[in-house]
Amino acid sequence: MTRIRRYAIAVGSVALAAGVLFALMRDRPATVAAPSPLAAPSATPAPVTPAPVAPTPARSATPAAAATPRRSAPPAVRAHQWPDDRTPFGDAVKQVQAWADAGDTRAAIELTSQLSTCTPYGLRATEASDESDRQYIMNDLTDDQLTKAQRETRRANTMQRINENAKRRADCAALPRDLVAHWLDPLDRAAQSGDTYAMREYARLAMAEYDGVAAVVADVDEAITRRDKARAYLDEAVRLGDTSALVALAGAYAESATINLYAVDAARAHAYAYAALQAAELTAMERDRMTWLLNRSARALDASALAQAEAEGRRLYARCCSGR
Amino acid sequence: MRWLVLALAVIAGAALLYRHVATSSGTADAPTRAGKAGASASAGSPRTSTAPPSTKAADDLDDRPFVDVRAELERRAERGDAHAAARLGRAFAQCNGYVPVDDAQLESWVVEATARGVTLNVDGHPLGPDALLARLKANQAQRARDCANAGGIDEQDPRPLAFHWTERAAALGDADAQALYGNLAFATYNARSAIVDAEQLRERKRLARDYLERALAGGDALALQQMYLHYAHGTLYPEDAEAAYRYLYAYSLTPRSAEMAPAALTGLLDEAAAALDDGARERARRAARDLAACCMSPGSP
Repeated sequence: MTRIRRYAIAVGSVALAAGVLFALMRDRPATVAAPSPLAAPSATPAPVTPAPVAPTPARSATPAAAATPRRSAPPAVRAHQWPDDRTPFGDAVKQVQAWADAGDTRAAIELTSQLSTCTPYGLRATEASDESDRQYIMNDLTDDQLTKAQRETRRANTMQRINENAKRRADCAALPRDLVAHWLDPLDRAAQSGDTYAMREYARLAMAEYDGVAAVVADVDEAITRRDKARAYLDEAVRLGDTSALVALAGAYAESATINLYAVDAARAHAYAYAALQAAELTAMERDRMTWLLNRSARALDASALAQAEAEGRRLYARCCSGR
Repeated sequence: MRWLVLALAVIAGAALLYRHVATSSGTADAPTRAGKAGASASAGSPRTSTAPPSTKAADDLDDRPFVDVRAELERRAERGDAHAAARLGRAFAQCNGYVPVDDAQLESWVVEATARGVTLNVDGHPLGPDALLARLKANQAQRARDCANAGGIDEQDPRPLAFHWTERAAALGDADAQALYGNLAFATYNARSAIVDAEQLRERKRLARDYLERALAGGDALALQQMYLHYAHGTLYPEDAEAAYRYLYAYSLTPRSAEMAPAALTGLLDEAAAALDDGARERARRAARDLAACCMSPGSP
């Protein structure tokens, strides 16, 4: 890494930290007191809160098979698990690749997930993790709150992660370059076969690499291709009744995006969160996230926009998932 | 504590911007630049053949404080004065919030930062107080030269202005602005907007490469240095350590390399060379000697 890049990262981090602090200090009052542009000028605006999401009694009465619309395409072939840890990584990749090539979408999804740790982005991520871990170890040395045993346990755990990362990097280096270069292809094929989990995973993994402007600039044609495909997959997953895709889209429109796909749009975020919360099968984490997002997005909407967003949420849910 | 971190961040951030923008020499040092550009334009050089003629070169304003002549520079830039637009772009890119800081103040900051446990990490390793002080001094010295006539700029976000005027200057045919365009063209994006507006970003990338190659073809040594950055970072061109070193070494052979602090240039050369084996290094140096021949003018062409 060049000195200028290292320097850039270092000073950028400091400047960013200061900027974030400053921005947070500036943002806080604005989000609390932003007046509604449509509110009556003299009246104290009533607090805008999202209407409670209608309960979904029909859900509980729905047969279990129909109540899980996440998997719209049941696997036509046997789904295999990733081989256990005793199988060398390279051998496991070969085995899972063979299953994926035979049409096992679960294997294809897992293969891409594992190969994602071998891409330049994935390797950088593990190196950054190692750096943080080493810093933890150093910090623990001077932390008087820790006992000697605690310090040793934390060190052992951290070193295990560092060693596993090192082993994975070595394993990755031994893989055929072409395989790593086309790491997304198995997942893409699984998505094309109609697996909605693969569609969501494509959106997440394909866009994760574009975590900064420089990454997009360097690879802009591919970024556009992946963006358009990710958008289409999420829409298709919703169309197929995948309620977790509603969650993903709510996050994509949210102020703090979980996937960089769309510009901030509080109304869209609210509508998708509202739709998602009508689904009975959300995980607790998804439900918490959507509830938080619903309240957050409501702050940016006046009463009229809020009502429209919620109507849109009901329409989205009815069209994709109700009665499935 | 907060003021100290912010002060260091401001200095470091400004130094970063300087490094990325890698300025041409101070505006006060180049009173004849616009005249040369105008002459080139009238001679119909390829570099400026598409630019509209300047209405009035702004070099008569070079010695006057930026804040005093900003409005006039903006008027002239709008009317087609490439030199005025370039000065505006440089000032907003490099000098926003600039205030002179003397060495004693820098030493005081570093002492206090060290005492409070504030560290600046470089490549994951904390920079020692001496190294930190050396960097701050070098950066401050560079800023003092670049911004000697550009104090008092206080924009909440100078990046859109820096890009707007650099884009204008580049379109008007200013070679340095064309070389630097790629360094500012993406500064107003974030990771999200880069994806959302990727088509616009792609067009800017195309234009940035076009401008950079045009500046290089026109003999602008700054384009060599910018080529190094883009090859080293893999932004406008695929990452290529040998090409990066080739362009940086070529830049170091040109008179305009004197615009960089010698220690900084040597350090960059060492870092760029370290990524190469002996054969690649020698090959890059040989090619660099030919490359540098393009750009032996002491100022912007």
